[in-house]
Amino acid sequence: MTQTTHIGETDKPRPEIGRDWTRDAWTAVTWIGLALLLIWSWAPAEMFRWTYLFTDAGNMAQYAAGFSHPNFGEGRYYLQEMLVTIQIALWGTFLAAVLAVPFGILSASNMAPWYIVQPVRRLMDLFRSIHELVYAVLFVVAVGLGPFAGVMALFIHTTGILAKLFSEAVEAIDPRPVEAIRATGATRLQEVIFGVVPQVLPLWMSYALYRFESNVRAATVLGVIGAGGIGQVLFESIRGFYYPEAAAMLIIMLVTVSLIDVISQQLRKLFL
Amino acid sequence: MNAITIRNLSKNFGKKRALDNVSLDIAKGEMVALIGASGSGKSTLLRHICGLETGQTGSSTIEIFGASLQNNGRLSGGARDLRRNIGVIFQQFNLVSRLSVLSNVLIGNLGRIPVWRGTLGLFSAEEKRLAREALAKVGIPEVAWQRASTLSGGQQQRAAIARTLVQRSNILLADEPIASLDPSSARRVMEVLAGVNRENGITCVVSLHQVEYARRYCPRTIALKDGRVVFDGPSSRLTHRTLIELYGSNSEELILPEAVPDFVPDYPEPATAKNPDMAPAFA
Repeated sequence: MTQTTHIGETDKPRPEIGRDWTRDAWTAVTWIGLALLLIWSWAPAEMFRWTYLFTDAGNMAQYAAGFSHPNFGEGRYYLQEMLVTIQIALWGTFLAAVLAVPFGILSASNMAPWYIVQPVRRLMDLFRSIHELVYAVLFVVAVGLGPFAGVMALFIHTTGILAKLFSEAVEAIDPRPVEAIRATGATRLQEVIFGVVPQVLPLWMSYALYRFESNVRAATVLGVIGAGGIGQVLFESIRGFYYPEAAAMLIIMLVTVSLIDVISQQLRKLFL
Repeated sequence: MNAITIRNLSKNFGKKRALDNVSLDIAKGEMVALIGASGSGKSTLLRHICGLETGQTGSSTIEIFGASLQNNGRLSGGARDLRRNIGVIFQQFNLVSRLSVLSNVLIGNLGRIPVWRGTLGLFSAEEKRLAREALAKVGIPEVAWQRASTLSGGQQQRAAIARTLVQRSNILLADEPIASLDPSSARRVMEVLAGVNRENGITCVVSLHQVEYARRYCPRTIALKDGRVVFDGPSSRLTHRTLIELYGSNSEELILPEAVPDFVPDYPEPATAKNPDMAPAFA
């Protein structure tokens, strides 16, 4: 045991290891790239029309005036339809949140090897990049007109979004508790359950609640193609120039979304 | 039989050589201190021994009780089975901060109990009793139901030790377990480690920043400098003069004058004259 392997010379000047410039270079390239992208998109997005916002604002005011006398005569019916919209959003978001957990973990670069991460991410891109409306049309063909087509459309689209958000939360975790769990001889799944999930759960909850709020709005739009709920009634009213009725529905939607926001704030505090 | 056998272990992080051809034998039941200045490779070495890092390809091997943990930069298939026999205590405690202290301690069971039960978090009443016992042993039974994040540094480190006690490993690796603790917490933690080594015959390797703790608690010291083993022998031979010869001006950060004053008289007697068998190495 008593053996001295090597003694280094004391206080020999230690060589400096050169700075790695590639990182700085890439940061600069990223910012310049963003600037170029914005310039490139200016004309195609017709950003030069921004002056019309000021010169022709009167047109907007005239249109909005049509909504200034809401008619709550059918208020009870609107509330019922609003409830259906919320129920569509609830199921769509719930199914998406459940599925986004495995997809989110499999598309986190610190959890899975690249040959799993990349295909899963591309699949999530596909889910996310196609609008709910397109999926809704697709599901209407399969399951018929009505709320269920809306649920399925929200489910697919939201899975893509939540999986991306969930995976970003997973990529930002503190790896040290996970290493401690690995060091006890735990399996990979156990590392995720005990080390990763407790760390990301508040963020996941927050994202899922936020998507629920967004999905209530999205479910409204889905009414246009006959996926039920208040959206369907709203668009029928607007198309028929029944602006007072449409105004009543918009107010109900506004109040509902605000209420959901307040409730989800409280829920978030509970999970922190 | 050797608890830990390391042969020709090297590791590069980018351009930096973190470990340079390290070979070591640590026998069963030893209590070994690993000392060295910051960046000398102590943490890296411990992370290799518990299989959280793999060495460079080449002829490197690490064996735990004769079974291969890693070979030529690849973890062997039985690494998970070996890990359960190696408890690790980290400088930053590495508790899951949003779980209760008791849950954190119960996590130590994961390598021992059936996978399905561990995965579902179904710990038996007996396992919970042992976890509470471990918390009592390290002196913090009252915090079992608190979130780990609410504990002080010293309490967190003791909770982390309780986790390794529950793991019932044969080897305990501690990576600067006292570096972020105040002196009295540091002494308690070192005493718990020494007790585990003495009473349960568990092989302990503790990386330390201050040589005083090494001399007080560990019969053997291994010193690293720039990823190489520069001293391996009885801690009593590691006098301040030896340290200055090993580390030059860097030795200041290894010596904590007021921490354990009873060892100060060693200095400035000439170490080489007192230990003639060490002399040739320094010549």
